[in-house]
Amino acid sequence: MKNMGLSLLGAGCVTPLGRDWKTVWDRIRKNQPPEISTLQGPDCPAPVEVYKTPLPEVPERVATRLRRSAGISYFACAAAEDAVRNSGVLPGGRMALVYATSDGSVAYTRRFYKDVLARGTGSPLLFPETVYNAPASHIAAMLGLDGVVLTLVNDATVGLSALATAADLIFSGEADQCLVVAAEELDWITCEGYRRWGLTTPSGRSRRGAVLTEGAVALVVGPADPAHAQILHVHSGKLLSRGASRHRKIVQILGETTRGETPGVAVLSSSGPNHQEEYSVRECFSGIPTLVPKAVAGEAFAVSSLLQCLCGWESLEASGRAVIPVLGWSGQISCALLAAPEG
Amino acid sequence: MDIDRPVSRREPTPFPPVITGLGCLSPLGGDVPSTMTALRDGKDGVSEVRLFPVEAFHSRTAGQLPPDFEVRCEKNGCLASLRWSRAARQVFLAMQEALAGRPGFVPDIVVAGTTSGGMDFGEAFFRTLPGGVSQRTARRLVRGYVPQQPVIEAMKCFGFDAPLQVVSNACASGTNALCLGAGLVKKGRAKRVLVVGFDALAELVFAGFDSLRASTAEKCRPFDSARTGLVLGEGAACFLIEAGGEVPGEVVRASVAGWGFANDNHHLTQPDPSGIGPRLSMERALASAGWSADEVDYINAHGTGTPYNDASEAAAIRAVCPKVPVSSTKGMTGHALGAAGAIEAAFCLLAMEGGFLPPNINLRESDSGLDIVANTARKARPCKVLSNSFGFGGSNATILLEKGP
Repeated sequence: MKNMGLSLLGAGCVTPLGRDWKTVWDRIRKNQPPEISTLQGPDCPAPVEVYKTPLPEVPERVATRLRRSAGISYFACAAAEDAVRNSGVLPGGRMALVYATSDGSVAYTRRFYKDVLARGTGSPLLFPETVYNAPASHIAAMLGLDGVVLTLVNDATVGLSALATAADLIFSGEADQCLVVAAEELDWITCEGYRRWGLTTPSGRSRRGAVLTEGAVALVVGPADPAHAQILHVHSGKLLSRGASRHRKIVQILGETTRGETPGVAVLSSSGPNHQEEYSVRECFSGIPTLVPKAVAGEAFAVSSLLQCLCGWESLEASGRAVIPVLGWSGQISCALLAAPEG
Repeated sequence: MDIDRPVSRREPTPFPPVITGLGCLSPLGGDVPSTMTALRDGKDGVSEVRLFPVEAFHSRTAGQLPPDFEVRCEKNGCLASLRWSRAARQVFLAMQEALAGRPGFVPDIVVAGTTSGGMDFGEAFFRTLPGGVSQRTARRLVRGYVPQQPVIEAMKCFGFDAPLQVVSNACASGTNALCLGAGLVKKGRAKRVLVVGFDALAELVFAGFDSLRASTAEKCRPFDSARTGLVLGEGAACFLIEAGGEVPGEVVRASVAGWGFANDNHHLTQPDPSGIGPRLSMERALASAGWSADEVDYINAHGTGTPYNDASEAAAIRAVCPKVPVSSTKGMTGHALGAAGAIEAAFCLLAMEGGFLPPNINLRESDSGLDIVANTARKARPCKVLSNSFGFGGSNATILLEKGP
């Protein structure tokens, strides 16, 4: 049976591990994490360890539009530009854009609200950049996209949700290709929020906590081409509950995504070992190797889920098929299955 | 049933997606029947803001939910609802009303549209940091702030574990969510989709529009020659969408006949004055449904009442559907941002069921060149309606609804 999934035509990334994917992948494989830095707000009891990403240069044609933008828009535009260039596809009206994020521009949101509380009003230059779809708007303007431009927001599962939406747009004929971009930015308020939520810790590298990070990953995907690796399935997943049913549902989603076949590798979404996700994967696919990119690259939610996909792609030559489960911090799960080129 | 997406499968249903359930709360009413009455009567749902101090702002009014909103939450909601964000309570009530009319409905997927999620919890977290806040409260506020959480809270109450997709295309989000939800049914990806558009009034957002001078200190007057801006609103609308032909005809309230999206790259907050974005989204919607412009019986305009939006939209409507009656209902409700598209689609459905065209209130004189349904509802039998929603970032979305059997 022929695979008729989505093909990856090009990728771009802006991460603390580097700007070109080969370097990033090399550092993930060699377990070379970025340098730790810290963020601490004025009223916060302790610093939170993070991996910061330097602001990338962006193409001249969008630089003016971005002059007042938050870092997240720089990350998103730079990654999108690289992905489109690497794909060789000419952007235009038949290319859709699906942009995914979990936190959006929290830095500007925090700064704007601080001004409102302190002075009774905030800057009109900041407010427009606080909306979730501001980075998508800048990417669309940069590339001249006037068709379907969507911004999806959710926990880390949003990256795979964006790929599923891209598939829908392409297979319904609404687009020829789709640019899928995920971006996140760090701010002390996010770090403090997640620390209070219990998702990270001041020491960052605890077994359960994550080191938060920022950046963007962009993928250009199109209809299947047997010469390219493919996304065979994206399972939209479920909302998980607590207790025993949680494990059952994870196992169920893994089984449904892989249709009973054992993949060659699982690229996990956890930040460290012994996570429930790994336990479920071991139960479903006994003995398969696992990759945990977040242990090296940090946690950047939507960005991380697309980074998992890129790691899966890189592993296909050896593994044939890669399963990509994503467990989000709002209690959701989604899952993707990637396959090596045919022949 | 979960929704599995083998990306190669393409099995579009021959039946159009149909609406089989509706829940709506807006400044016009806390449920569908009261909304229908107020919509026909041209009720002004805008009043002095009571949720947060507004003395420092240029604008001081907004469309707010009826005062009994909180009481209804306590009486009807889960016990946990008292600990939810304002947005979560709205989502819950809208879902509750929609599901009450279609017992046994379990969605394969939930699609939501919002711009600011549980913003009131985000604001509270920021405000409480200097004084210290308990770990438990902080966790509740941070969790409740993220855009998906209001929907997740409500889903849990109804025992749904379906996947959730949240669209945040600024003020077009509600319409985008409806179109995506209908698209999943049309493309055969899902049989039952629950769509909800929501946004609760929040101080940060209110201050934002005030800082841009987009909001007005007086009445919101869409398409009036002397319009001075928008007023904000809030609310939620929930739709149950299923595959037509697979449900009994008597439960079908309307079909989603088509939709179109377009992106206008002119400016982050201002539309292209030519109206190219709205024009493309309307043209694409009509093409997707196979309708001609002459077939449209009514247009619910985005019509925010800002000089730029209304000029751009009027230009687009004149180019695409110059003879069709038009009204913006935002004079009555205020602009509910990510909820607006869903609420206004609900208004369109009620207009078809009630046999009237909703009025464009607060209109004195219009230079739009359009057939505006001025100030009082117009008796009519609309069967095919078009609703526009536009947003920051150049988002444009148009949805077409057709009356049920």
